[in-house]
Amino acid sequence: MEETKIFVVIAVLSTVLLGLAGYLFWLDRRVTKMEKEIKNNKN
Amino acid sequence: MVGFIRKNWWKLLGVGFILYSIIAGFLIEVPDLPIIRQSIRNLFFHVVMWFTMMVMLGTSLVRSLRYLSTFDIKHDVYAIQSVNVGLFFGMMGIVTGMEWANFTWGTPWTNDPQLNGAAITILAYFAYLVLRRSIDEENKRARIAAVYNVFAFVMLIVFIGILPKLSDGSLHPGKGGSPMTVTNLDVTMRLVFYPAIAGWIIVGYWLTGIRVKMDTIRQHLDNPE
Repeated sequence: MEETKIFVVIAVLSTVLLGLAGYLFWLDRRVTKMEKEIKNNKN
Repeated sequence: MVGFIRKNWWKLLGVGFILYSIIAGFLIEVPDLPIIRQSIRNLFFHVVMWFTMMVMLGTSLVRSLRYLSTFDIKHDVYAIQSVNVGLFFGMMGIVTGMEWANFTWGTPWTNDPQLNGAAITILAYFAYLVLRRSIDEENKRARIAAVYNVFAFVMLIVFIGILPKLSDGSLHPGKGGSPMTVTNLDVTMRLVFYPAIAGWIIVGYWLTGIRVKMDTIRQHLDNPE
C-alpha cells in the first residue's frame, strides 16, 4: 500500500469542494444582487 | 477584495473547516478497530451530516417558536428554508450511511433503532413539507406549520436521541454491538471531527440564507405591486 497515493484522493476531493464553494459564492452574489434590485424597485 | 472578506469571512471559514477535514481526515492516524478499519474516517464525512441536520432542524424549531410569538412572517420563511437544508443533510446522511453499512455489515439497512429512528424523523419532516403545501393562506400556513414543527422536533429527540439508547444489541456506535463507542472517541479524531461539524453547520446557515433570499424574490414575482 503506497501511502503517497492518498494525496491524489485529497487533491480530487479538495478540487470538488473548492469548485462547489466557488459556485456557491457565485450563486450567493447573483441572488443577493437580484434581491437588492427588488428592494430598490419597491422604493 | 477586502470588502468581500469583511462580509463573507464566515463563509470562507466554513469552507476552510471542511477543506481541513478532507485533508486531515485522510492524513491523521486513526485507531485500527475491528471490522470498520480505515473506514472509521467516514466519521468526518457521514456522521457530520447528521449533526448538521440536527442543528438545522433545531434552528427551524427556534424560528417556528419565534414566529408563534411575534407573527413576523420572516421567521416562517427561515423555518421552512432551514428544514429544506436540514433535510438535504439528512438525506446525505441516509445515503452515505447505506453505502457505509453495505460495505461494513453486508447490507444497506438493518433493523436497528438508530437507523429506523433516523428514517422516521426524516419522514416526519417531509410530512412538514406536505402539510405546508396543503395550506394556501400565508399566515395560516405559517401558524399551523410552526405548531407541527414543535411536534416534529420532539419526535426527532425521541427517535434519534432517546429510543436508540434504550435498546441494546445495536450495531451502531454508542450502543451494544459495535466496536466503537461515543465516549472514547480518539483525541486526534476529535481534532478533525469538531471543526468538520462546525464547517458544515456554517455552510448550512449559508445555504439557508441563500434560500431565504430566493424566497423573497419569488414572493416579489408572485405578488406584483
